[in-house]
Amino acid sequence: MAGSYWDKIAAQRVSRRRVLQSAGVAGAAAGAVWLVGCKSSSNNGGKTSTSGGGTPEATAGAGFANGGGTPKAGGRYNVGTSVDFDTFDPHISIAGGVAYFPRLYNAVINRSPRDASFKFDDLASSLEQPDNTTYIFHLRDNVMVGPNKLGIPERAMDGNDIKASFDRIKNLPQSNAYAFVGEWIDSVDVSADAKTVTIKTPKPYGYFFLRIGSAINLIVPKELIDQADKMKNASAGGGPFVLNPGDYTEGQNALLTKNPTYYRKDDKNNNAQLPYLDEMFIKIISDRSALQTAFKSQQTDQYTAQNVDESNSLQSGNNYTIVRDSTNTFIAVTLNPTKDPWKDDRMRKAVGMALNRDEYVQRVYKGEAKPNGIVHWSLGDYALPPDEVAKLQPYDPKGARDLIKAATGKDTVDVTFMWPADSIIEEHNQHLPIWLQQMQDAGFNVNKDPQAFTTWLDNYTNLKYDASLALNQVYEYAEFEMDFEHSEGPARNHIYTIGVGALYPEIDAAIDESKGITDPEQQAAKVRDVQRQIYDKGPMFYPLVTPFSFTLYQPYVKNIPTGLGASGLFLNTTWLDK
Amino acid sequence: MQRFIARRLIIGVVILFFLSVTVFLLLHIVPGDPAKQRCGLGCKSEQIAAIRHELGLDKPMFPITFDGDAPIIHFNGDSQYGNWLKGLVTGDLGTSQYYHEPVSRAIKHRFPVTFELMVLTMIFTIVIGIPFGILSAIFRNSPVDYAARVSAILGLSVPNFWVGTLVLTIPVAYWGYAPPLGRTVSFTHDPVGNLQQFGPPAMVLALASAAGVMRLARSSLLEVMRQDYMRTARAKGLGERIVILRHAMKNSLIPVVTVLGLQMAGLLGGAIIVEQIFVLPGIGQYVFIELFNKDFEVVQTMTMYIGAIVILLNLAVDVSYAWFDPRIRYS
Repeated sequence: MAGSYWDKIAAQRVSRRRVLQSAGVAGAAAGAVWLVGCKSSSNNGGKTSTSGGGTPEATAGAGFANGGGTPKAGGRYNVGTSVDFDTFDPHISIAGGVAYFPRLYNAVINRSPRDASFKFDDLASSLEQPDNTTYIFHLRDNVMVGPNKLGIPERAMDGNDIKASFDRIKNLPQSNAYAFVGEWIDSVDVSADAKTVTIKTPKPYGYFFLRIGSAINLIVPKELIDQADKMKNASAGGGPFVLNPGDYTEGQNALLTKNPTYYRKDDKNNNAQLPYLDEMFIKIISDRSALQTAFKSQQTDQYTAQNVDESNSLQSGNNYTIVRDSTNTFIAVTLNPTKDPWKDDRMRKAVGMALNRDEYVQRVYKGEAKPNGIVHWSLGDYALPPDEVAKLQPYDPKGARDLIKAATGKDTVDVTFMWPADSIIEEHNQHLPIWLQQMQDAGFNVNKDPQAFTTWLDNYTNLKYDASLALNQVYEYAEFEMDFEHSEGPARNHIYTIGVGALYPEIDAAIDESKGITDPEQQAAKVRDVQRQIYDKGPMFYPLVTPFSFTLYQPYVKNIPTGLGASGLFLNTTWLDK
Repeated sequence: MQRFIARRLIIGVVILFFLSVTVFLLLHIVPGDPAKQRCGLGCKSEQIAAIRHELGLDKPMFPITFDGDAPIIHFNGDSQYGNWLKGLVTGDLGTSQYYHEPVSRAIKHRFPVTFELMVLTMIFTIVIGIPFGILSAIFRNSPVDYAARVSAILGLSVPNFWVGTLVLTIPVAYWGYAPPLGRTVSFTHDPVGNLQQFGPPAMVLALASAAGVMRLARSSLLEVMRQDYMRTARAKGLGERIVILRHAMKNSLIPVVTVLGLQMAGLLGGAIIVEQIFVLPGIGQYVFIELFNKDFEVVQTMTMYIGAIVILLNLAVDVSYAWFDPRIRYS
């Protein structure tokens, strides 16, 4: 379910992409389900059904919290979000709506980066891949545009809608997926009967399946694209819910109403019509204490705690369901390879040795986090194993001092480090004193350069720094983290960071090569290998730790999807036992 | 009086002009590119250019620019400041780049919330601040006076965001009660629900404003009570109640009215923090969101709105002096 975890990240709103990426992390993530209280979870295994009306099951590693019982249809699910909606246009929204678009529109397919076996085939019922750059999607014929008040005909979604959506994204620079579609979608061809869509990429792209079905690549009926203005405050599509005109009140709430013709049924419950919920009522509550108050007074049905202590405190005397998930966020430190002393491998490695990640885990997150390598741990096979990460980036302040001595001839070295002094991102303020002390202990004399947030962000964006605290990034895919070590920076646009690839072209080549591997296992192996190469040279970008999140649900909320990341948004088997 | 009002309005227009230039410059001086901020991590340069064009940031800032080459002065018909000012004057308040909606529509929807909050706050302020100020002055140095003054100090020193948070969290912690959050209930539709929603934030805002009014009312009344005509009134045999209510109060309220006017202006500009805490979609919340998203045009427009409110309310306060003190004439 979309919820406060995403809001916590999205409320920072310093990066459109970051908001997009975080938007999908809605009450579902990798990691174990941790339930407090007497409720049991049901863990559905098995393969994904690709039949027309079936519900894809959550696979190993994922599950459903507070499952069991016979689902009841009906009810209104109340959720609080701290970020107001800017627009309900799924292609250009940069704020609160992104977490809800999978409720309104369809993807071609969706794959979870956290659970490689999860497959949600939405518009497409099956797929052929004759070569590494060609994807042939065979579409369902029963995904109907739901009843709506925008005048969009209630017809079956087809290949022309897919083509129209991708064409729009490609030609609209303001669209969130512009870079992806522009770079990686060569052509979208529709068969004469509009039931088959062939998408070609210009070259092999290993992240294609992860990105084609993301929340920013959703498919809108072509008639609605021609009247895109109507999407500002309403929707019409084949998704499980619809936003009718007048049901969004700016700054207050949005009411999503069940689409009675949604094509999916629950084959575990006599093919009952999905979604079970009649309505989703999204309340815009930007203050955290107000969000908590709304949850405690049962005005909302879920709440993401700030940390484990808050979660435990709220649970005391209550019987909420608590879902413990990994997040896709971390604080990182960025070094600028164009500035001294960071051109020297030894100096960069010294920074790595100075970092005691366990200290952040314990002091900031009370043990509810894990250390990161270059790719954070919650991305499964793309991350290096924890033991190997510990060997490649050991905590060794004495070793750091030795490297500084070898590089400079001195026992200590002066470095300048900037950060946002008035950041509203709490994690910045919590990590910073620990980091400064660790650098000091390792022989770095830090010239502190705190800046006003907007000044810092401007300097960080334009690479005007020696070393800096990085933006509180959210990553759904390993691709972004790897690109941070590329000479052209993330998304190849020379902003925020330049990676160690600027010093070693072979790193650039390795990162590029890893993108082109389309077999997931092989790609994950290559990504791990590239990380080893980067460690050998000394990284430029040091992710610290990734925490767990704790989302509490009212006891009557049943069948909460977990372990799937943003992909959980596409499932609609949650119901209310009241 | 009419000439006085006309003169003040003309001065007000001049002030607003200087305000417009100042706020425009300040917003554009602040570091940070709104286009890059909107575009985010995976942005291509053509996307940034498109967004800058959409936001009008690729136009010259001012209608007049200076150049080293001849002609030295260039007049730009299409400039950011010029277009914005022209829109203000013609009633086109612009469009929010965040909400993709006209600013005028946002004000129309949000102003009633802010207005109701202001009205309730002023009612509480007047009902609490003035009577307690009078009592405190009348019973000077008595336990009543000390209690009122200590309460006023507390009201002024305690931050309203803290009080607001307590007002919200304590009832839910002990009694499971919270006012409606995430949806505004209109007074005509459900007066009780509406007051449940607006009452607590108004009380929180009134805490500080009533404290200030109480202290000012007290000191002002004490000063008036020392005047010769007050001694004369008592010497004539008038009761203390008549002396205070008929002779002292009106004169002592002039500075209080000034402060109330300023408080009203501030509240009509939006009580950002209280609106956030109590989830009231008012002007303050709107300005905060737009400022955070670097929606320059909207922030500029809203600043002018607040400036105009302050000017008009100050004028109303000044005109009201003539009623409080008949000796005051504007000629």
